[in-house]
Amino acid sequence: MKKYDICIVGSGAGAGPIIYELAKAGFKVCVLEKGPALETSDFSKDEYLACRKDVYASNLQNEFHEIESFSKSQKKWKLATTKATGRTYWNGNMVGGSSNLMSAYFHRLKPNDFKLLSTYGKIEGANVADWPIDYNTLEPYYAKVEEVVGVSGEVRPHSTQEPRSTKDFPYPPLKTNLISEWLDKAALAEGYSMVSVARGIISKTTTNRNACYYSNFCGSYGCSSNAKSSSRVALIYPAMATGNCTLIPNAKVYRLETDGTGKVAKAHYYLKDEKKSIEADIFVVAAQAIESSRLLLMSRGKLHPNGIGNQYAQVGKNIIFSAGGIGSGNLFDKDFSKETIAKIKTPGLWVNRAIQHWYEIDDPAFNGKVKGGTVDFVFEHANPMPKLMRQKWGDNGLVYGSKLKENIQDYFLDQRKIKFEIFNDWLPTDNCMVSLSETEKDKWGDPVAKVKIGYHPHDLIVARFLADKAEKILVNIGAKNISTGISSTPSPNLVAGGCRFGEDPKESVLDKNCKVHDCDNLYVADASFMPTGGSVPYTWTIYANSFRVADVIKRQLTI
Amino acid sequence: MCTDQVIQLKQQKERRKFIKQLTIGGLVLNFGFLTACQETLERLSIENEVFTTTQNKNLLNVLNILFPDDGNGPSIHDLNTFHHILWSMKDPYSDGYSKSVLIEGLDKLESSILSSKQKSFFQLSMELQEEEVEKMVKKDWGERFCSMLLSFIFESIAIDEAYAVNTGQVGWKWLQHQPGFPRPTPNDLYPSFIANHQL
Ligand SMILES: Cc1cc2nc3c(=O)[nH]c(=O)nc-3n(C[C@H](O)[C@H](O)[C@H](O)COP(=O)(O)OP(=O)(O)OC[C@H]3O[C@@H](n4cnc5c(N)ncnc54)[C@H](O)[C@@H]3O)c2cc1C
Ligand code: SF4
Repeated sequence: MKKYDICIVGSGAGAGPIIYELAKAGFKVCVLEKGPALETSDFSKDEYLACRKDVYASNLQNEFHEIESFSKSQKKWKLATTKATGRTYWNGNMVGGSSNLMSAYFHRLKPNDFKLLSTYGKIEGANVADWPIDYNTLEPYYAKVEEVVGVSGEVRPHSTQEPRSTKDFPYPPLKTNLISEWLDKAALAEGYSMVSVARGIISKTTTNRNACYYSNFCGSYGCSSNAKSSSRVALIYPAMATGNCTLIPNAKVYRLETDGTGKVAKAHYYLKDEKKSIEADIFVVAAQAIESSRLLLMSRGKLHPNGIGNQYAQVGKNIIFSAGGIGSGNLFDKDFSKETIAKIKTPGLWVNRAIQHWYEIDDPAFNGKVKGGTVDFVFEHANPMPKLMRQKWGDNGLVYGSKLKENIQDYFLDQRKIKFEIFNDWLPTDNCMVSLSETEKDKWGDPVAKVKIGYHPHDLIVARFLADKAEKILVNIGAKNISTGISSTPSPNLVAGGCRFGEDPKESVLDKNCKVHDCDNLYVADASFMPTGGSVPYTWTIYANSFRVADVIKRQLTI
Repeated sequence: MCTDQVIQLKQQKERRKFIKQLTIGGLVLNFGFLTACQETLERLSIENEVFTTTQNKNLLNVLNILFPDDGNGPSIHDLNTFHHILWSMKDPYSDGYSKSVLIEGLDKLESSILSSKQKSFFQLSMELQEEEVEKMVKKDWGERFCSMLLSFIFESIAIDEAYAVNTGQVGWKWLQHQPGFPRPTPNDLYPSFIANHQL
């Protein structure tokens, strides 16, 4: 049993910056990752493997979640395991975590996201809280992510552009489709500017990473050029090259053991089925929000009878997802010239446009100013299975026979679908939280995480408002069959909260440096710390905050 | 003993045999099966390790009604769908759900036709088979069964020909689909990927 300076649980976006910074600073780092050590050469664009068989996520027969959701028809909360429903809450379990599979639409939070309560006031039924740090504290770290992890983009003026310490992005924007110009014009016609969306994808080749080759299959697939800014490629590989980082894959941590002083002394883990443990001076948990809460709750000891950080029953509370929905329209061949539609149908090129004009909504539809959100435009994913599956059902049930073949052919050959994804705050409530299941156990006999997925009705109203703005844009560019599905069903890949940071230990789990209030050598460095999520996907913020926490840990280790 | 029970018993026997084969053959059996995919559909429709002869014939006929060879795009034969289903039934990592849906569907289809027409489904005229499928998709079990078969048909259109489906990329060509690159190599296909990486 070797003693390390620091032991990190998980190896995704929340872990990577700490692994990188500490290893580079000469500290002995040990990473315990429950998934396998897949390498770049292991990834291909195999839809069967990646999406139909979901091999990059933990097997639901062995490890699963218990989901508690409200049944509107039965008017009661109901429990179901993901093992039974097949709807996984795992997002990517391997070295680098789900950052290997992300689509990498990167957005910073905006200054008001750090002070939602004081800016927009209380919302009945929601546990909104201000952050204990402000945008300026995180800004240098956002800039660091651009440089070190790799973010491509361009700074173009728009009404909600967040302040920047650097003039432009280190990597120029990725190539875009003709549709991006149409979207720009459509927004200007409506009186505002489209945002050019940054990406956690590099557009220029560096010494150890090739530029994006527009492979056409990005989200849900690993990257074969190392262009995607995964924690594995951008941070863990360089950390390993220092010789200071020991990576233990297939190591599932099930308990943090505390000593008589209340500090974590050991991380206990299963290496496949063997029980092992590791000692270190400092521990970091970054297992993605749900599992991080679960691990803290499972880590009971003399001084932490209800789990570490849980002296005021805050661990697992206020889990948030990303609220919103998805809309779409079809660009039919018949509505455009041959040359134009050929350009629109060019595979690979990005859309990279978003509406953030209503990031703050000041509209008579609401009672005063409210927080709005982001609408990202994207083409329908290129992989064919979901497109085929969509043809299965018609108004009268299953479609089959020659009619089905005609529908399939029309869908694939006569149009291209442009979609939009709405991101607005998933308000934290008492009905959205993680606890330990009382009945369900994983293959090792440990309680699985029980996730209650209640939402606040305000989320849906904001999403609908944003959908109307996006639908107008689609009309303007000539799309047909425009519709939006606003949903209260969470997207498990965008999850945060559960171990909020804050000043008051009675209302938070972590202090403002993401150290657990009641444990002096334990940090939580994934999105668990976020009291509110902003109205964007989280990963850029997770990376930035982890770099900030790395600085704190370096200071603690050098004292 | 009524026909239903005979079929069920037969089914159980088949399933036991299947599970036993899986345990003995494991992954090797699977790889062998994938290579064997080049064999003719006709031969496979007579006997295989998963379904009875009658089940095979019924299955093939239902598939051809769900996705007919009507001159528009590839046929079930071109796509090697039948083989894909057999191969999927032997997936050692499957939770068995799709197999149970198929077995239930084939079972109920055969027993309902036997009791109403005293024949097997495949022995009916084409028109009658189509009528029976139309009735079947309106029943819960029939909808479940046909929906599952459609998913298998879609897989045989969409996934890489390395899986012995979508022969000569016939599905991709029909839909002018451009795959992502790199495409999978024989060593990294499911399910060997799982074994290779000890997932
Ligand atoms: C298909 C997809 C598309 C996405 N697109 C975007 C996007 O466009 N933009 C964006 O911002 N974000 C996107 N995301 C989300 C992004 O990937 C996550 O926000 C980010 O990776 C979260 O970082 P994390 O460190 O919390 O978790 P992860 O990156 O998932 O890492 C957590 C790691 O911890 C490991 N782990 C869990 N429990 C244990 C344990 N007990 N012991 C040891 N290890 C453990 C897991 O196996 C995993 O590897 C996407 C995600 C997916 C899946
Ligand atoms: S090459 Fe580009 S499009 Fe393909 S996975 Fe990598 S980052 Fe995504």
